[in-house]
Amino acid sequence: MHLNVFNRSQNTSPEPLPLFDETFLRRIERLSYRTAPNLRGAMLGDRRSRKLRPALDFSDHRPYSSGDDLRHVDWNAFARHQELFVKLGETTQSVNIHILLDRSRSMAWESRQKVTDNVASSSKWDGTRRLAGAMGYLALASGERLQIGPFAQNLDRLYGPTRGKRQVITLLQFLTAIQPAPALSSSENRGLGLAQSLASYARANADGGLLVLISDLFDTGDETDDASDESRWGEDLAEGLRHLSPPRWQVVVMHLLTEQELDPKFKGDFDLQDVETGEDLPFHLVEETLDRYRDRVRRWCAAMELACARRGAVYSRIVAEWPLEKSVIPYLRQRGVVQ
Amino acid sequence: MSLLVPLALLGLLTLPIIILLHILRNRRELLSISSLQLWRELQQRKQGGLPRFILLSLMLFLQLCAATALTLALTRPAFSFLLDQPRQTIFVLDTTTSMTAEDAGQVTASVDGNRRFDVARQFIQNQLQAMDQDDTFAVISLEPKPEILLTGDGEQVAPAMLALENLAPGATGVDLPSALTLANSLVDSFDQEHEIIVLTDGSYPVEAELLPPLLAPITWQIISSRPEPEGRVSNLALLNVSARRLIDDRHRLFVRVVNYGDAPAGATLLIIADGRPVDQATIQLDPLGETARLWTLPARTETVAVELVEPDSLPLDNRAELYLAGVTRHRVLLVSDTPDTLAQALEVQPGVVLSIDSPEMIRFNPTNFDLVVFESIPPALTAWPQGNLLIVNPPLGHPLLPAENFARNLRPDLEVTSALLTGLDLSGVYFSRVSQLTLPDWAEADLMGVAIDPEQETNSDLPLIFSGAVDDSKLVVWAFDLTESNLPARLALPLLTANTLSTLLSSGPPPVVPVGEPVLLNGSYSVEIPGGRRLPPDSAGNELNVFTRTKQPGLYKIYGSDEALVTGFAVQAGSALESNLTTQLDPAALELRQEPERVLASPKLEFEEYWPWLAGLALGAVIIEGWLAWRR
Repeated sequence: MHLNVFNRSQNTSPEPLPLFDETFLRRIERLSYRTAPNLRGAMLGDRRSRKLRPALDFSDHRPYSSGDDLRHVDWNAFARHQELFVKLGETTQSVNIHILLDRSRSMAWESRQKVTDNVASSSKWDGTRRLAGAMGYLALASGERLQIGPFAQNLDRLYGPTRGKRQVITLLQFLTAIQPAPALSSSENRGLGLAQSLASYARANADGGLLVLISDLFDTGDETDDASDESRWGEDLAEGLRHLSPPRWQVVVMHLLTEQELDPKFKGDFDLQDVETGEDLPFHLVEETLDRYRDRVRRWCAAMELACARRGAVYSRIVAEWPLEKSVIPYLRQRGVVQ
Repeated sequence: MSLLVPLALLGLLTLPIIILLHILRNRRELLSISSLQLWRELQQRKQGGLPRFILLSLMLFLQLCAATALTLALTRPAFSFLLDQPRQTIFVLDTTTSMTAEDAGQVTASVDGNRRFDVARQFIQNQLQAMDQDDTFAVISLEPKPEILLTGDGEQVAPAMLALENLAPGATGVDLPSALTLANSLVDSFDQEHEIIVLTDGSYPVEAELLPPLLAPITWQIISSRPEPEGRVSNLALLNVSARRLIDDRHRLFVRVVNYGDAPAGATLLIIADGRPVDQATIQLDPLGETARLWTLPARTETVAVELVEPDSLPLDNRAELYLAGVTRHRVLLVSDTPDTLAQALEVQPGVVLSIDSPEMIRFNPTNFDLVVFESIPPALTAWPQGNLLIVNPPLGHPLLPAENFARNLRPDLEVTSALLTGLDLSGVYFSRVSQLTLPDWAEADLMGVAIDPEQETNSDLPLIFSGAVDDSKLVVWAFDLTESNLPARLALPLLTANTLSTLLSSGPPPVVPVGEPVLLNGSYSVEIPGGRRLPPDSAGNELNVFTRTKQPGLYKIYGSDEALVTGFAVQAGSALESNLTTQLDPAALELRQEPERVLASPKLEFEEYWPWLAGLALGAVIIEGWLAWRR
């Protein structure tokens, strides 16, 4: 099977464009996640842990308990105090990196896209997968423990947990194979929604870790009227993030939108059709209408950012058309997601 | 640009129809978006089910383009070109003496000389050279009797240029209305553009009321001596140079000099008699001032010339000549048995060379005599000889003038006037015997006779003298017998004889003729013009020969068929009409009328249609539209 993973530049066929560029992946090896030190890790790794374990490198003492390795007993302290103390030292650990990837139909939307068009290669979906691939590769290259959870209406089959750079191939294969969810029919069950999906994921991964949520945050789980109510914007996200609260969890919300979603340019009479639900509404789009839309988008994003802030999550709004290396990575560094 | 089928513009009505169809069929485009979540509150109600504006789609644009181009193609738009219409240019060229003034203001390098006429001629030549082949031209002289000098078309420019080179000015006075009328007469073709160009120095007044309405636009080219406001005119002219023979055969010479300049001027007058200077005088004249001088010339002086020595703008009027020996010779044949009385009356007439013959011996060649006088008509004469005839006392029973009887004791009817009786005093004259003639059809009575005794009614109203012409003969008839009248004893006889001769014979040319004035020569004469060139007589042999080549001032000598000098006359250029060089004509003030009913023919148009381009454009738009539709 042809894997469109490491298409080198000398490849004679320019189409399709490589989803992941090897040069770029090697370049981001120098980066690493900026994680909170109190995150719990499962295994030894490169990241310093707040936990003190018996170690040769002295940092603290604790009373000896049965089963402790006698090599870690501080015999000098025993000579002075006639009590057994075990020498404790700082240890390193690896962090659990969770990437929740929204693969709902809206994530594959393309500007001026017809309903019947193939959405498997839209710029937004490609951008999503590239971003997820970069974040996953960053985790594997840093020796972190990686788990990717695609979700649409419900959580899908997970990738991982796994660690080590050798898993990059499987990671990219997974991301290449993943497809956006089909549109929902009106009678179809809308699933758990974002909040319940996050809650479900949190319950399944009690160890916590760094969770990267890549989504456009267009939630179809709520009732339509509620979603249109500005006062309730971000509630669903905040509810989901409530289950991913620190210190167990460090959450980064990557709000992925396209230029056309932020600043639509089309004018005229349209029947706008929701790409996920298939619902359509008639619109007469003039500049005034579009201005009002842009204002709503701005306030909606602000509500999302506020919801994240209330739950201690980092909010990063990423435009799908941005070049990953030149725009997205510097932006994430600025936001303190990577270092 | 014009539309050959403008009605097809109705096709533009398809444009609103197309737009209407677009409005009616314009369905909302179904456009997918990632979520309606943020759009929902922006939804508006449909208004009437129609979109609020027309979507300016490429398809609509192409359809409008195609419909517009097709409609315009159906209107058959065409660029119209006015074909070059033949142009007729009528030049009215002033050929008067004043045009020889050497002070032309518009002298250019291309003009040879600075005469006004040269400038005008060069202008015409330039115009001729710029003509197309279809153009036509005519040149009319502006002089007392305007005439057409040249006509031709664009292919005859070369001979016309040559003819213009040989054209010489020389005329006194102008008749501008006649010249313009003549120009109007040439404007006869309505498929041409016409223009009348008048080239003149305008040194004459014009009464605008006399000018005819023009059939063509007129352009004035005033060739004046005043190119600048401070330009000055300087011209002294010899006017009225004449001579009168004195009793002692000397001549009294009269000379008048006028300063037509606008500044005081002095000059030297030189008198030349028979080619030798005999006297000179210095004169000083104020502007527009004049002076007159008299000289007495020696006896037997044949020619005299007066010269103003100092040159000025118009050289032609600085010299005037006179022919003083000019007495016209008339050869007269008297056919009579008793010629004494008539011979005496004829011989005293100046210039008469009398020959006498008897009726029995009459064998004469009429061309050898200017006048034949028959005292009584020879019976052998069955037809009037050719020439001038004076019949005196016609006999009874002659078929040419049938008279049955004689009337007695008549006196002239003094109430009758005739040119033959000019200066005659016939009071007391009686005629004892008069041929009782009936006035012929060809004659008019000059003197009627009435009976001395009123009771003799039968003798009343008989023609005593009558004249007329029969075929080639010109006759005067004295119906009375001179020997039976007291007329020979009266002064009236030589006067009557002189009047009769002047009626039958030309009196010769005038001693002085203005430049360009035709001279009537009674007979076939050759003329020696100034410079010594002899012009042969009129080949047609007309008795009345009009000599018109008097454009050159100087002495003209007239020779008879026997090469004998008959007489001479002088042509003088100086005149009040021509010597005053100041421009008096103001074209702007003339307000010439244009013939209102002149209908110009429709100009010939040539159309270049370009509907195929528009049709191609429409087809292209349709093809592009079809391709776009296929792509969708």
